[in-house]
Amino acid sequence: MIIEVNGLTKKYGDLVAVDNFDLQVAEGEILGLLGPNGSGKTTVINTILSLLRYQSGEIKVFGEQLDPDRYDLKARIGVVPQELAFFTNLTVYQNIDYFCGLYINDKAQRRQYVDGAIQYVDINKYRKFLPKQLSGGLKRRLNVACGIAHRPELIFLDEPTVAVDAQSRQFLLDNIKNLRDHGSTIVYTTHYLEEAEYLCDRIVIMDAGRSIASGTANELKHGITVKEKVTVTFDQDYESLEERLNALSNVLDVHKLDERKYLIRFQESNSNLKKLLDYFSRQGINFLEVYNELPSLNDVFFELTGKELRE
Amino acid sequence: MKNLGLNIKYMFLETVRDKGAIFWLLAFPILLSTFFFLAFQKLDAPELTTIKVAADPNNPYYQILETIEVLDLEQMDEDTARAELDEENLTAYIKADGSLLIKKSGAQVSIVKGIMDQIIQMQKMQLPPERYDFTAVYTKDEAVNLSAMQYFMYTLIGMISIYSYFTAVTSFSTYQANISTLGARLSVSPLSKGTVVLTSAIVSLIFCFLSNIIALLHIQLVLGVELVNNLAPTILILFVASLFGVAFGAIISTSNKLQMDGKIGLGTTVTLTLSFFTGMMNPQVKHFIEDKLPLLAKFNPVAIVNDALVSVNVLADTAGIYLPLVRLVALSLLLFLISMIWIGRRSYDSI
Ligand SMILES: Nc1ncnc2c1ncn2[C@@H]1O[C@H](COP(=O)(O)OP(=O)(O)OP(=O)(O)O)[C@@H](O)[C@H]1O
Ligand SMILES: [Mg+2]
Repeated sequence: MIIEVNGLTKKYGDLVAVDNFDLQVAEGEILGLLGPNGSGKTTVINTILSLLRYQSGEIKVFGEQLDPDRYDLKARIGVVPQELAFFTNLTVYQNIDYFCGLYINDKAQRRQYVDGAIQYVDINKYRKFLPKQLSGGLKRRLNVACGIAHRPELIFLDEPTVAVDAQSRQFLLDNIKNLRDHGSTIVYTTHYLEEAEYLCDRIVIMDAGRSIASGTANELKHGITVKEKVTVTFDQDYESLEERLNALSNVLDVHKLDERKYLIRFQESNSNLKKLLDYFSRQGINFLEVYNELPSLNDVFFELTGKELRE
Repeated sequence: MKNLGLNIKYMFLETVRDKGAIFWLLAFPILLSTFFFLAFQKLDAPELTTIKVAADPNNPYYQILETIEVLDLEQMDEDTARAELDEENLTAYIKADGSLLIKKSGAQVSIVKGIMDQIIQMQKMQLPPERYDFTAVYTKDEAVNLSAMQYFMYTLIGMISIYSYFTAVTSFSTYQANISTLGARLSVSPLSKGTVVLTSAIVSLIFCFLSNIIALLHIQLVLGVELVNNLAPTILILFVASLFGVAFGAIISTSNKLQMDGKIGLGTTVTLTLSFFTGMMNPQVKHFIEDKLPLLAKFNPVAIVNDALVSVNVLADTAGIYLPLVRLVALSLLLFLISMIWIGRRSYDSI
């Protein structure tokens, strides 16, 4: 294990920000920390990095305790903090060169690494720009470049894609996968479900400082009761429709979404849609639209917490 | 001490491109000294109270003496003059041979004496009296003492040297996790405490020293207040002063949990207090402190710098400055050591 966290509890005064939290990160994987605002993702990272003191628990990085003066361990880590953090009066190139230089002494190698990072986040056009001349999304990309240029073994990325446009985000995500393919282990926090699902080999879902589930996206989705969701829009009102739908086999529950639009959730996923359509034709029920979906991570989150993760 | 060169290079660039820092370091001392110069110019103008003298109208020097502004010349015979001198209505009576009749000596008498000496000298050399600038005698006589303006400017230099703690606070604070996200980021890198302290100290020292030199040049060359008579020891004093300014900034930065504004405010308060103790607002304060709190006077960096500049440049005493300067260097090193311990590579309860 590259990272091992057991029973971590961190309080800010009376507020329990991280609550008896466990985390294992294996070598070469992208581990996603998924949770809503304030669920404790950043606090977990800062505690692992020994920026924050904690009340109880055990943290091992590369199998060792990462004390603040373990420069040897820190040299193997890269961090992209959630908040922008670079020098305001240094250019894009100089900033990346500085951060890379904290880890890489050899000048030629450093130049190559800095150029690599600039390609990685696609800011070659802006090398000579000062940060204040960059747009919000470009600043984010610079923020990422400063944390990964030295090609660390272990990388923490704390919501790196916030404010980055869709195209650049895709580019960035693919490059993060690329980092993993070149051997880096990555801890990635996000509150975007799609990102977590697309990027992460394993996901830990956090809520209120606790880890409420973990596994691959598929494992998580299979782990919940809901197995399939069907949405139907009917042509007219039918009498006691909701009760009739509820009585069908495998149906977990029925939600009225709109005037004549219903969401039906099933607990088994075997030919639910076909059975449903047969039932409609037998009963003379007509519909305007019908489609089915497999459960999403949002359903996982909803089932575990009773809240939506999506705003 | 890995990456020291890289750190210094980029910290230097970061500072030199920071308009705020450059203002405080370079423009502020110039503005402040100019402002005080203008304010002091009025106060410091020599008091042109005229000196009452008398002579017989037939005195061969009478016509020349009449042209001298400093002198308030009256016609009088010697006997009347003796009576007036007794009454202290007159400073001197000038006899026909150019010698003076006086009742008691003093600054005014010596001015009159100086003027007469010059007149006699010039007549011997057969120079026309118009060629002689009598006011020069007068002002030269006064300038032997340290003018209030000069005293103030020396104190100002002392204050500016410590005022440059500002760069040091900024620089040291850059590396602290609880001050900025940049600090947090740097704290999780393998950047060591030693490199942090050395980088901040060296870069700040360069700027502080420059700031002092520029202030001094401005006061001496632009404002025309004579400060430097002995350049080498003056430079040494300014260097030590800057060193202390940086050490002071390091302590202000690392000793407390205040955010940047609070730290700057704290530093300014301490600087002004020390300047106050040195007599910048009221010279009596300095004597009071020397009397009642001798230890504070001994270690007050503003006072040390001020006294050293005065001894070197006014009293021509260079030997006396070394002990106080050594004291200041020792104090600076102590502050660096403490800040090195405090700057942490440590964990916080909250950042
Ligand atoms: N310095 C602090 N002092 C006090 N409370 C804090 C501090 N930092 C965070 N918190 C609280 O701790 C909890 C966890 O915060 P944290 O920043 O770890 O959440 P997060 O999951 O990273 O959220 P986000 O998605 O918004 O970044 C929140 O309730 C937050 O208000
Ligand atoms: Mg966060």
